[in-house]
Amino acid sequence: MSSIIIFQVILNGLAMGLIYSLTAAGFSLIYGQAGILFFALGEVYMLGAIVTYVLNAGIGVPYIIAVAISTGGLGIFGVLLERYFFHFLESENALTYAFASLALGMLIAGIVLELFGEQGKAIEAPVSGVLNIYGVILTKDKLLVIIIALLIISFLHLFFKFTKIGRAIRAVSQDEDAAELVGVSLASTKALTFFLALSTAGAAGGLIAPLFYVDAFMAGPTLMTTLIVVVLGGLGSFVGAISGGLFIGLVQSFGYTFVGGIMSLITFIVTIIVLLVKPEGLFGHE
Amino acid sequence: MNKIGNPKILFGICLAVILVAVPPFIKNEFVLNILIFIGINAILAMTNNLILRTGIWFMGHVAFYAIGAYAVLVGTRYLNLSYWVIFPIAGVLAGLMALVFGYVTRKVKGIPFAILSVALVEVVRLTIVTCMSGKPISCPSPDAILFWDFSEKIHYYYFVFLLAGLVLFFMHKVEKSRIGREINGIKENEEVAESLGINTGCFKVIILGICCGVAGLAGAVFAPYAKIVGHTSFTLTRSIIIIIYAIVGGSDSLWGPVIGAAFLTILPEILPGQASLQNIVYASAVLICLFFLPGGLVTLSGFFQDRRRPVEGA
Amino acid sequence: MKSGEERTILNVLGLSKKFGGLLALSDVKFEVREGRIIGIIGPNGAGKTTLFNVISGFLKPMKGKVMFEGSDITGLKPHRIAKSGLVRTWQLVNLIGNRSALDNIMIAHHLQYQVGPVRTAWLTPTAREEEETIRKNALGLMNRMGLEEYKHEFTSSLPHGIQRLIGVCMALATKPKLLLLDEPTAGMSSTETAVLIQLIREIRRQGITVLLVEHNMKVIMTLCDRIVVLNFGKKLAEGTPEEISKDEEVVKAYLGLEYKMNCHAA
Repeated sequence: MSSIIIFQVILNGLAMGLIYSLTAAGFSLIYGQAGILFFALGEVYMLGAIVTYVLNAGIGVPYIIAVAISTGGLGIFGVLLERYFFHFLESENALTYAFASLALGMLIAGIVLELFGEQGKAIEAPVSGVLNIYGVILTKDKLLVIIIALLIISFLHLFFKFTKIGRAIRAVSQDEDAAELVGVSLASTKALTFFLALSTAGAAGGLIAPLFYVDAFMAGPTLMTTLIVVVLGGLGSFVGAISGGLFIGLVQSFGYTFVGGIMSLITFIVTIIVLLVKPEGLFGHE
Repeated sequence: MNKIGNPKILFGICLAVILVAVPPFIKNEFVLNILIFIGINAILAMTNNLILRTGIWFMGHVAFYAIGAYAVLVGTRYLNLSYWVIFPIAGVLAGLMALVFGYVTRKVKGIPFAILSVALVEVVRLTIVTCMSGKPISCPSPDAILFWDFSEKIHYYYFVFLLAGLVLFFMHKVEKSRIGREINGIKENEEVAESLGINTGCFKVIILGICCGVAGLAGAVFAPYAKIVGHTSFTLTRSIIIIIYAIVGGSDSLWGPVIGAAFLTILPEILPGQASLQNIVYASAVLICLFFLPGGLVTLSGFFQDRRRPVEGA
Repeated sequence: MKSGEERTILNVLGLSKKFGGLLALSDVKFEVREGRIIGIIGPNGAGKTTLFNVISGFLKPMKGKVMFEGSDITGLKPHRIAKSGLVRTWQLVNLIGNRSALDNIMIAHHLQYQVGPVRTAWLTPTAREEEETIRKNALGLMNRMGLEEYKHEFTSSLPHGIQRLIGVCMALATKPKLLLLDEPTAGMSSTETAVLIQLIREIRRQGITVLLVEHNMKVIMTLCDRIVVLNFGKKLAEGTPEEISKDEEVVKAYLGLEYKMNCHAA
């Protein structure tokens, strides 16, 4: 077993795993705050990639800036969604929000398909080549993804731990009424949550754009894997999202390389087993 | 309780007469195809809806549709059994597997259960892909029964129509009986129902078993009709669309899922455009209903509503 | 006709229950004699609702047993326990909100149905007859409780006090031997409370044993034969109303309890 292959597999696993960590963190964040199962997150991720593609390959904006713009734009989209879409739904039934999100996702995917067609689009890699550290070969493109993803995750962690509004968000996800009683503004925490969640997912999409083809179909499988990560890690848990993402990323990387196509099947079977044993997920509560 | 002369019964009879007498004169195969799929989708929508109405977040209906279809495929093509022998077996097989699934997952509720049902769909689909090496397989037609030799679409139409009619009839009976009341009770307030002596766990699993068994029968009809069966007919998206039929049509009424299935089966066919437009159509229909018609399409006409309960959102 | 010596209908033995780090119940032990009205009191958080949940099967205890009519019912599913005659009411959200009051009472008659599910689903003549009978019984029950005027109203739109009464009505429809009432007078006016007191007396007259969790001391002192006091999950005291009102530990647990106890109706 060549060590080059092993390290590449690990690198791939880490990169993809962190991408899933980001999307799972976004999903868990919205669920923890608003109780909404935001099934359109896959499409938001896809939009992150599409916008980055349009800016970078279409207009020539440098890659990093394109990702930043797409991230910010999707964050704003998130705030608008919360205010004008979910606010108007006003239902007692959690399923209504879930299905509205699902329908929204389908709508976005359909529109993107109409506008861009079925062909996958490619972006030029912002960095190319490899790093050679003590004989270990690491491709720079994956490294870039890992570094930026880790930066985002660290930022989020510090944000929730140390800033006032970050702590407010954590308070609301634990007990909405109690938080309101101590003066937390639910409107602002919800808006900020959606901003953070969608921008994180969009960033993940932007990061993945140079690595794979960008098309309307990338949303579905990503959402599926995100759900698995979220559910394994524990719905609403930030730590669970991160560790779950890394775990799935590495498992899938090793799996696809050494076991092949049947890996998808195995992933689902493992998910079923974990859920039967511990339905709240590994880090979940209740 | 005597409903003779009741406008609903008259409507039902008129509809039945039209649906029986008119189709033989429809030569347009395209129209017949739509009618057949309306029937299949209506069966799937009604059975899935009943499961959802017990309060279970079940998104795995297509898995049992697939089991029924492949049971027939394997039975008629590889085991050389008569279709009419394998048809009920397909339903029973799907039903039993649903009972097992329901029993095994009985302690899991809410969102984790929904994910489990999603995982089930993918496991079934990926198993099919693996076993059939991803290639679609042809399914033989059923053997002749009476004057139906299933060489023409119209024969399938009557078969599907009969099945759908039976399912609708059964749903109607259940709704009017105390079972319908208790199902509603379990969904609304499971703890209270349990404290009144209702074995909610058993109830839910049995409903799951029966409804998925019928979904298996729908699959058993689909397989020979489609002639070529591949895993692409049994995706998670299809499962979600089945739920959408019920939501758009009206989850709380008897006719809702049927109307939703009819509406959403016809709509993409009469609108121009390719596959991407289909998704936009479905999505828009759902969003319009969720925002403006929480009770579904049935609320547009008081005729179809069940007046014993208030409509959700009213 | 009851036998001369009353038998024990419920025996709670050493029940303990932990939630995470919190000991909600700690070695709770008491007996309930048939036909009595027993009150369970204690400050908020004392474990009263947890006790009810464990007895009625909605929670499993860590330690201890619940014996009902001589059989061990610990850890049985709630519907089994209800079927054997031990039924509870609920403090909050106690009804099927989107259906009429009559529908709620008929659902509560679930245990009275004999016709099997298949024949019921097909609405055979036997099933339809049984439905009529049950419907008449349900209306009769509502009538006796003065609730008949609400029969077609959707329960979520009814006033709080009426909802409580319907909840009790539903519990009675199950023909219980032991009835657990969870804070039935919470949010009720004094007129409604008086009606409920009469109702509970009538329930006892029918031979049903009652276990009552209440904060309203007047209700407790008026109705109960014996009182069990819980505090921090432990049984603090047990005795007749006079004994309890004089118990120093109890008074300490409830500030001003003595004042309230002295106000009970003669």
